[in-house]
Amino acid sequence: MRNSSSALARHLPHLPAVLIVTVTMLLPLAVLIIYGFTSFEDGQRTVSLKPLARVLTDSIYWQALGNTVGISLLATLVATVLGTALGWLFGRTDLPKATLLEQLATLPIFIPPFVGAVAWTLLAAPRIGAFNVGLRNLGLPEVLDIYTPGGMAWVIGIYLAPYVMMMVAGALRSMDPSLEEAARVSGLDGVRTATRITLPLIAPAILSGAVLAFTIAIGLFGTPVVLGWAKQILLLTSRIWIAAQAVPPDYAAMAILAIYLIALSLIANGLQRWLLGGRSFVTVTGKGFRPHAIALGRTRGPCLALVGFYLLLTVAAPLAILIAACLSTYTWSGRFTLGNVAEIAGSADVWDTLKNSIWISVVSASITLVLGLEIAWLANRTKLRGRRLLETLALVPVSVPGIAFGVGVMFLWLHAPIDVYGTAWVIILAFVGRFTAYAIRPIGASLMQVHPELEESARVAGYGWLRTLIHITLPLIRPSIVASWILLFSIFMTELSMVVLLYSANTRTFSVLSFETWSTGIFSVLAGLSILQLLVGASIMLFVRRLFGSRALSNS
Amino acid sequence: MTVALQQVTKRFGNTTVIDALSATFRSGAISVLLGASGCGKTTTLRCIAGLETPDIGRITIAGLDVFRSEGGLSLPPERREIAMVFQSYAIWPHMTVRENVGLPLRARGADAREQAAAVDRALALVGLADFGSRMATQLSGGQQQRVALARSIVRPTRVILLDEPLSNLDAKLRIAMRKELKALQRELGTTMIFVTHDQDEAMSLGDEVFLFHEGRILQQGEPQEVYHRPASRYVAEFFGKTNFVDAVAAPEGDGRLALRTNQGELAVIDAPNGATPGPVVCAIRPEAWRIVEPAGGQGIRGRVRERTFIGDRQELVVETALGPQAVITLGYHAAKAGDEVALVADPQRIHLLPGQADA
Repeated sequence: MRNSSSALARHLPHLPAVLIVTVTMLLPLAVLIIYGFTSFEDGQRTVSLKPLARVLTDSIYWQALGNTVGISLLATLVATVLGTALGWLFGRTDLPKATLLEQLATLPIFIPPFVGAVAWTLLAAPRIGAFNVGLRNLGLPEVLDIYTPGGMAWVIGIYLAPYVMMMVAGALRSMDPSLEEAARVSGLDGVRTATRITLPLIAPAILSGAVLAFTIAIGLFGTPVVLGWAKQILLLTSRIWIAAQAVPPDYAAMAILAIYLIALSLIANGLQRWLLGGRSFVTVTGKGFRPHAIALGRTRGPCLALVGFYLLLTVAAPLAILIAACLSTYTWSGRFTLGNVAEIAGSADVWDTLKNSIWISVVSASITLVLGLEIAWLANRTKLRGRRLLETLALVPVSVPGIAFGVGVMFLWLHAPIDVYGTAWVIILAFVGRFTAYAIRPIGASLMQVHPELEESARVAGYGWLRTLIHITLPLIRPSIVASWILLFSIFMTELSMVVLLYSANTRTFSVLSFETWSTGIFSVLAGLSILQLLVGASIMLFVRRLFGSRALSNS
Repeated sequence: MTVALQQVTKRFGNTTVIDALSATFRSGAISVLLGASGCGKTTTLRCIAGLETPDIGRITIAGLDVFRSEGGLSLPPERREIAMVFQSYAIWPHMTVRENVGLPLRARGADAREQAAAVDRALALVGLADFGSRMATQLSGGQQQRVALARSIVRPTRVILLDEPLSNLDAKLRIAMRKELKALQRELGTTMIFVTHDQDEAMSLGDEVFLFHEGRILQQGEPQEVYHRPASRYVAEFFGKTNFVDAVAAPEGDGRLALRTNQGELAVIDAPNGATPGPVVCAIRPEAWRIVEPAGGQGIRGRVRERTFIGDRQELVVETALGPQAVITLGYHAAKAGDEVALVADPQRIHLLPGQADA
């Protein structure tokens, strides 16, 4: 009797976590499946393949599927080639200023896809694009057209390259350099060592990076709409949005298209698992490896130029064109004005939506962080039954493309008896549900590095579990907590693909305002809004880092 | 085959890791490069392998230049006809044991049957005959060590370089592998250059030991030679415990020297070559002291301060007017802390450190 009551007492505090995981993560996906495989007739919902049949027989949806797969694969190719090259340069060679350049090369991740797309419109749209104007002035043909499948794949790909880069550089850094040296001593020359030893060893990392890039690419909404709308190159995500705009909304099509996206993501991840067969060659032995960089020699110049060109295309040129456009009378006419800045500063709409974005992001990031912390802690530090299952379930939504998850959240709350749909809470619940994994992974990883004996010795010394948590555990894992919060916040500030389905007149976010401004075609104001979004995001990140992240722990 | 370095210097940034080093490593022998970490021993090995490029100097293997700063010759590792065993074993995790061991042959386009036979032979020599089809990652540390060794002997090479290959094994296995390695080298007659920081390993394995310090070789020679006749205080201390006793050497006739301390005469020894009367430092190994009854009036008087019983032997610290002396006696010798004793040094085993009276 004492046993069962104490077991209950131990489990009870974690009931809210279980509930939140169920409501924010599992129910949306369940409801999504229900909507996809039932139909509503004569006031009754019955199991039916009608929605699926309708989508399968409509050629526009096949086209959307083809576009999504084709463009995403092409974008993945761009991201993988660029990312592997950059990762190798930073992780394995004596490229000068590599540390600084590598940090710069991760910046594209923090540029919202929508903003990147807007900037690239200004850079390479037919006729008005800055690059095309440049070509025209040189008397060359204006060959660049960003409003094509190739153009879309290019823009998506260059902004996804840093994900591949980080994985490849990480794998190369944790690879024992003597594996390569042993090959040289055994008689392989530099090229054969690279192809027969290094490449097979980092292949799992490249593959993981490529699969990640692909799953992000298929779920993108802002980029494909901004770049594909002009020539009506529509992807699954664009089609979901169009179906949501229909009167009445075409819920069945939305559900099936969302399931398409989930299926694509599952196929990509399944393929990766099958190819790897559970193997990872990267052997982290914890021995101090001599960082023995490969000398680039005469190719150093071209390699530096490649990195510089990448930064120019993803960061410098987009920022420059946005600033130029924001300060010009019309798009970038060459006549400069502060009119757009004044218009933005004087617009109540701008400040209201910005306020919405900030508070929704702060609240969502904080809830997500606490939930992620609790789940990571339960999984790594307790012996409660079902702890690993809880963690696994909480990691599911991250492989569901954002807009598909948004569809599920929308369906769940649309007809719910409590008033969530139409309030900011539906957005917050969607954020928490989809992104808790982003907190669980880094926090779990750093919890694993904190030896349990550090906590046990605090307990022996007389601290209760709560004081141990507050005074020992949390300070030790603080870097990962701060980093997770900042990452979540910056994602939430710019999130568009879920918000675009869930916002209402009172809960428009800043990214929605930007999207509306794009559809009205006022690019100067849009450029200004994009810059404002980057500035606000960057300054809050710096503020939080200064406030909580300054006292770095030297030996953790 | 003989490996020779002439005036080799290697700098990393402003630090000189190898400083105008010259050495010859004998053919068919095990040469051990010994020293504390950062002394340049591993860099020397990597320069021989071609994994590092010296700034100046010349390196020859079997009389052929593999590196010469004059003329800018530097053969890449794959053309030096060497084998190397790495500290981390460097077993390729994406290959089976057979594929790992066979790579040096495949790299040179040996035919398949020849390859298979050579791999079988190498695996049998290291006792892994039945492990060929395993993935390399399924092996224990000791087995991976053997795979690395098999890979280094799968084809005849001019020299096998070993970079602390035993340091990641546990103590028992390390000692067993030491013996196996030496037996293997005797069987194959290969030239081996072996890097370690462990003086026991150096002495038990090496035909010749090269003691490194700050990028230079302080002393080289057979292990017994280096142990019993260290060239300097640093060498003496690196090779186990040594007591240093200040004394004045006075000629006794017949080419003998009397060593006198302020506590009386230490011993009368045969004057070593080049020894001159005057102040000297005597290096006395702990086992060279003998404990006698103080009542006899013989030896240096002292009192036992500490005693550590090991079993077959015991280590004592005896406080004397010449400073504390480490003494090793047999385990059954009755001694306890606080005992009054006298110490007598074996005259055969007192080594005079040259020209270092005040060092």
